[in-house]
Amino acid sequence: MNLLNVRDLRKYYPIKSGLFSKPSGFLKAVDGVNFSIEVGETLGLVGESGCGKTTIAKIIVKLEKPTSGRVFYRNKDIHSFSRHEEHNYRKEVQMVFQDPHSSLNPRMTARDTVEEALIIHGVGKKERDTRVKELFDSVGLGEELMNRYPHELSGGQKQRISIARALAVNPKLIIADEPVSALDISVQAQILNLLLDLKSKLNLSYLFIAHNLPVIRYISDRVAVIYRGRIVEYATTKELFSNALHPYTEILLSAIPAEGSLRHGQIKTTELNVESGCDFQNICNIASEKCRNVKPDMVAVNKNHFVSCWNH
Amino acid sequence: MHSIRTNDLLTVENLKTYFYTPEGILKAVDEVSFSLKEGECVCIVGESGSGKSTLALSILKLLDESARIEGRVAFNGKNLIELSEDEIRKIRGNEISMIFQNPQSSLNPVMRVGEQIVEQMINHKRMDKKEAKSKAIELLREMGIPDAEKRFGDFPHQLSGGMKQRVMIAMALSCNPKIIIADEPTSALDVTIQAQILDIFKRLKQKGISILFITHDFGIVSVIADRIVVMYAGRVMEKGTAVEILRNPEHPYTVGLLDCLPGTSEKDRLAYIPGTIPSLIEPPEGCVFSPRCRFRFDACSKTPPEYPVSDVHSVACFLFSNEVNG
Repeated sequence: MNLLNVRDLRKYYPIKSGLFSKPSGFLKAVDGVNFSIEVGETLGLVGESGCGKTTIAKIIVKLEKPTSGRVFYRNKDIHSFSRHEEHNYRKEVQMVFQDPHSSLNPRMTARDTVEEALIIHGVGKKERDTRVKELFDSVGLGEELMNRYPHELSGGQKQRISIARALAVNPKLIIADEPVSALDISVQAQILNLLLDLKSKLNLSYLFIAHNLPVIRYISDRVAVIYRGRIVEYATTKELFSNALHPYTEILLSAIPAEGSLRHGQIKTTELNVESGCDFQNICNIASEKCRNVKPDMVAVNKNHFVSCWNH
Repeated sequence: MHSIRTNDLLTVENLKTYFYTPEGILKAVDEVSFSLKEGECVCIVGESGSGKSTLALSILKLLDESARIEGRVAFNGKNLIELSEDEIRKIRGNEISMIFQNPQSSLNPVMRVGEQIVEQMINHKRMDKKEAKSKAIELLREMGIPDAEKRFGDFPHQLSGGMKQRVMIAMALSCNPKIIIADEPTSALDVTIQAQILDIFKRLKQKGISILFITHDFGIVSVIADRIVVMYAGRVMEKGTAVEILRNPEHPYTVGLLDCLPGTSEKDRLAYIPGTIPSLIEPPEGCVFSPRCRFRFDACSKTPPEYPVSDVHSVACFLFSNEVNG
């Protein structure tokens, strides 16, 4: 069953040189993005800094308005919700941020942080107590930590609190924006396992945003690779990692440092802005005349694999 | 090839860096010893709070007064720890230079990047301005910066993160140092840029420059390291040649850490190390890793010495003591 459907999403920010001047151009943070997430599925969104992945997340949780395009949740446009539907949507779609330290209120205890959402959604005191205990238990935190403040907790514990807070209102979809990149490797593994356990236990869906390909591979069912605001390749995890087709995906994969690898002589440092054609043409080793003139469309290689490149 | 170069350029012996804080004594670096040979890259690997950055800063005495440094850092027949501020300043940026994690905050935002490189050469090498400028441009070009002459006059905010880190490396190289200490120089960069920067470090190594590379990323270690020092809670857990440690890790911490990595192959479930890094003010009695260790036994209530596993590999763990193994 389809849970979230994103159609031709665009977000352009005007570039202004002065406070009152007219925009001299537009920064296309998100430029025609399409994807969907099924119930119980994890979609990995991978790309480098500035590629628009966080902007997409912000649009979905309605922290940003798209310039154009639509987002459907359970086949309904999220911008034409009734009040009741809106309320429900904000409950069912929750976000976990990258840096647990700056996303928790330093003046609230762990317990208060988790309980706050329950209060807002009108849950009674007695029920709240049991629910908070349940939540602490489900994210693997001991009850003795309930009265601690964020500065008294480690990075991993703080991220567990953020996850408990997101789970408090029984969400269906969790948008996780680089949830493990600020954590140490030994703790990162704990959190990744926790996210997988919760997913199967609560039948959650994730939109998992990261720049780290091994992490994406571990957690995702399908992966979308983004370059400069556009999805360049979209495939099941297995397909993508065994048969990457887009030159950008290949570069990302080859740039992961690992013993004996690193074939990165191919990455060029050059002017990235293009006037027409494929965004990737200046870096690409196989760019042809067509790539310089016409933007490639997304084409299906098979039913599990889509790529936006003229060479396929 | 590396076995031919046997002369140690830098020797760290029994280094202790303690911070005297109102809450107590924080043992950030405790009894750390290792050496760096000519043209070699030693990687200090550890998680946050392992003391790896403090170790780097201690070598060049870049810490404030709350830190007490003890032990020996032998370089060129001198103990760097005992040098006065004036004496160590002649070594910093000159014979030993340092590159930090975040190039954005290490560059002066109101000074043209070229001038920042030139300044160093004029101070340390007494070069004249013209000569220094042409060397700076040459260095920028060597770092793969296109249009080096033009970029020389740019301010830091006009450059991307990767470009800024290239400028930092050019600056570190400007006085022909023997040693470069790099503290997580690629952690703030995208993977593709990281790959380019690592390439630069590999070239430096070929030129005979020794590199002390600080990182938490085993992927980077496997690409660049000749030898590895694994640190945890201020102490050395394991050290040896890169091949040895990556192929046959012995310390339970190193083994656990390598198992935690979601590698480039498929894994059903990630292993993890339970618990978290201990407080350095009240570290656990005995082996600092013991509270999280699966193999903990009676002996672990004492601090383990380093036991040799082979002549290029040693482990600070009682599992490797002969008495225990009989």
